[in-house]
Amino acid sequence: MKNIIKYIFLFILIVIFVYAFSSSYKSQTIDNLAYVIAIGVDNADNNKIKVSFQFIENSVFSDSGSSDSSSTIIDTVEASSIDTAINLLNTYIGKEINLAHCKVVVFSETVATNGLSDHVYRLINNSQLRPTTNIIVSRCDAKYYIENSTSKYEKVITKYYDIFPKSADYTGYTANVTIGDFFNKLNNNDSNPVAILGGVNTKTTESAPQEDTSSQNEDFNILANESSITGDRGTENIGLAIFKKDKLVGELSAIETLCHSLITGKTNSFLISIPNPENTEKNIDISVSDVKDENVDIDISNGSPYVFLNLKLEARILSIENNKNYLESNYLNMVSENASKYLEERITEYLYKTSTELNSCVDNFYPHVIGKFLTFEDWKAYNWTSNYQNCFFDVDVNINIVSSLLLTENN
Amino acid sequence: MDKIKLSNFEAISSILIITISHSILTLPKTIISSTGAASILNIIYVSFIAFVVVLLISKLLKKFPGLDIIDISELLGGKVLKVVVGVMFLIYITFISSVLLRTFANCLQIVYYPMTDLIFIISLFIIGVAIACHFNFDSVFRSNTLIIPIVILSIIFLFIANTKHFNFSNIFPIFGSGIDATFITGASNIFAFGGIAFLYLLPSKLKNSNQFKKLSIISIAISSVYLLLTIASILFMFNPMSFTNELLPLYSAVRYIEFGTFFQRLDSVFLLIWILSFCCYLGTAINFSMSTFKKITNIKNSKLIIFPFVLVILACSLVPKDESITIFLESTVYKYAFLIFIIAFCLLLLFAANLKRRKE
Repeated sequence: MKNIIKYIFLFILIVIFVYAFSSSYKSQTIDNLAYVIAIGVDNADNNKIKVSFQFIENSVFSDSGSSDSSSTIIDTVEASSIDTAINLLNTYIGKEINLAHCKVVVFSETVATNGLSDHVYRLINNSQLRPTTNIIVSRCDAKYYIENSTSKYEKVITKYYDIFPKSADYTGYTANVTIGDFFNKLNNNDSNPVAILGGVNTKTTESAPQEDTSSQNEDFNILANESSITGDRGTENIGLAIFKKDKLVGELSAIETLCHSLITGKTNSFLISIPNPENTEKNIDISVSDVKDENVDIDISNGSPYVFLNLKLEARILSIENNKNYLESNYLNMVSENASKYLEERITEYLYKTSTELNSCVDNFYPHVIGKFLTFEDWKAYNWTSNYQNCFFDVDVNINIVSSLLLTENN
Repeated sequence: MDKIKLSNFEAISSILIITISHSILTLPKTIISSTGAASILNIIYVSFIAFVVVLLISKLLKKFPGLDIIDISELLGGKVLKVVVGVMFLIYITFISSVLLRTFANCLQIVYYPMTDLIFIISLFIIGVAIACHFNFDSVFRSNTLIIPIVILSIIFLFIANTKHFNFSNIFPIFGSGIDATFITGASNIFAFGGIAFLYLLPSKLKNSNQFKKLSIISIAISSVYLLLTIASILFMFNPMSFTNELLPLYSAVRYIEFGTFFQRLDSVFLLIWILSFCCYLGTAINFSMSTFKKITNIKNSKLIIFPFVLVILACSLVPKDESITIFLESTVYKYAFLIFIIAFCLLLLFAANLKRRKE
C-alpha cells in the first residue's frame, strides 16, 4: 500500500512538472519560432523607428530547396522601440520572433547620429541575442542595406554574415566589431565605441562603366559605398563609424581603419601601396606579414598628454619592376624608409583626426595612462576624455622590408 | 545519518561547493562593485584573512577533537546554548539556501524558462534534492567529489577561452575605489568564503578528525584560487567602472566564448554544470541542516524532516517580491549575517569554550 501511494505521488509530481515546463518548451520549439538573421533600424516620423527583420526561407535548409543562393524574407514595422517592433511583428507573422541566430544589427546613419544607447541596451538586455552579433552603421537606409546583402559565394546568407567581418584580419579595412564590444565601450567613460561602416555601392551594374579619376595613392582613401568595386552584391563594408558616447560623430576611410586596426592590434597582415621612391608617379605594393612590436607610451607630466607610438613591422614587396634586384639591401632600405614614412604620416593624420576633429578616443589609449593613478577618484579628476583632444602624437613606424615573395630579381 | 563519515576529499568538496555556488551568482559583481579595479588585490587580501580565520578555527577546535560547534556549545552553556546555536545555524543555512536558490531560479527563468512559473523551477530543485537526500544521504557528498573537478575545470576553461576579450589594464588604478574600500571595508568581502560556515559543523562528520586543519587549509586555498580566477575573468572582460550590472556576470562572460564558427553557444553546457553544482550545494546544505537539527532535538530519524525542511526553503525562497530584494538579501544581508554570526559570534563562542576548558 505504501509503495502504491509512493508511485501515485511520483506520477502526480511528473504530471505537474511536465505541464509546468511544457509551456516554456512549446514556445521554444522550432515550429513556433521565426529566426531573425539581421535587424535593420531606420528613422521614421513621430520619433518612431522603422525596424526591418530579415528571415531566411525554410526551404533553403530542406533537400528540395533551390540550389541558388538563399532567398530571404524582409518584414518592416514602424514602432517606438525594437521590442515593440518585435511584438507587433509576432502578431503579423504568427510565430514568435527569436534573435538567437541574429548575425548583424544594422543602424542607419541618421539613427546612429541621434544616439544608439537605447537600442543597444535593449538588445544586450535580450537573453536571445548573442554579444558576438556584429554591429553595422549603414551609409544608406538599413533596410536597403539588408535587401542588398546577398552573396553568390555563399549559398546561405547567415554564413556570409559570419564570414565577412573576418576580412578585417587580412585587410584591416574594416573591423570585426560586435555589439558586445560596442556595449562595453559605451559603458566606459574613457573610450568610445566604433561600428562597422557599411553601404550599398551604386556601381554594381556592369552596364555603367565608371570613370576612375582617383590616383593610385587614393586606392585606400575610400569609404563603404564609394569603392570602385562592381559585382553582384550591392553592399560593401569598408571603414568604421566613430562614436562619441552613443552618437555617431564621424567615419574612417579604409586607410584610417587600417591605422586604427594597427594601433589596437587587430590586424597582423595587410597590403598597402606606397609611393615608389624612384618614381613618384608609380606605387609599390607591399604586404605586411607581421607586426613585430607595438609600443604605446603616454607622458602626462606636462599638461597635454604626449603619445609615443612605436610600431615595428615586417613586409615583403609584391610589385615586380624591371631591372630590380629585391635582394639588394640599398634598394630594400630605401623602400623600407619610404614605407615607414608613408605609414607614419597616415597614422599621425588619423590620430589627429580622432583627437582634434572628432574628439573621440577609439584606440584604447587610456589603459596606458590609467596605471599612473592610484584610485578611481584621481583618475576621474584627471578626465582623460577631455584631455584627449589636447594630445600630441609622436609616431615612429619601422618597416623592415625583407625581400619580395617568390621572385627576387627581374633583370 | 550520523554514521556518515566523510573522507578528506569529500569534506573539501563539500566546503568548496558552498563557495562555488555563490560565485556563480552575483558574488563577483558585488566584490567588483565595492572595490573596483582593486578586486583582485582585495581577493588576495581577503584570502589571507580567510587563512588566518581558518587557522584560528583549527586552533580553537583542536581541544575538542571530533566535536562540532553544536557539541561545543553544549559543553559551554548546556542544552540551552546548544539549541540557540543550533537554531541560529538552521536559520542561517535556510536563509542562504533560499536566497541563492531564488536568485539562481530567477536567472534560469530569464534564460531558459520564460513561460514557467518560478515556483515550479524552485520546486524542481527542491524535490529532486529532497528525494536524493531521502534515499541516500551519502550520495550528496559523493556527487560533490564528481562535480567539483568539473566546475573548477570549467572555470579554467572560461578564463582561457575568453582571454582574447580580456583587457588586462582593468586592474588599474591599482587601488580601485580607494585604499579604504580595498583593505578596510573591503575586508568584509571575506563572506565570499561561505564554506567557512560549514567548517564549524564539519569535525563530527570526518573520518579522521585530526585531519581537520589540513583539509580546511586546502579547501580555503582552492577556494582562493577559484575566486581569483572568477573575479579576474569578470574584471578583465567588463570594465569595473561601467554603469551597468549583470544579473549573472559569469553567464554574461560565457556568452562571449566562441571557437571559430563551429564551437559557439557553450553557455548551455556551463548552465548544465552550474545546475548540477547547485543541486549538490542544496544537498550539502540540507545534509548539514539535518545533522544540526538531529543534534538539537535528539530525534532518531532525521530523514522524516527532510521534506518539511525543504518546504521551508521553498517557502522562504518565494518570499522576496522582486529581484531587488533578492539581490539585497544576497549581497548585503548575507554579508553581514556571515560577518556577525559566522566570524564574530562563532569565534567568540569557541574562545569562550577554550577558556572554560583551560579553567577546568
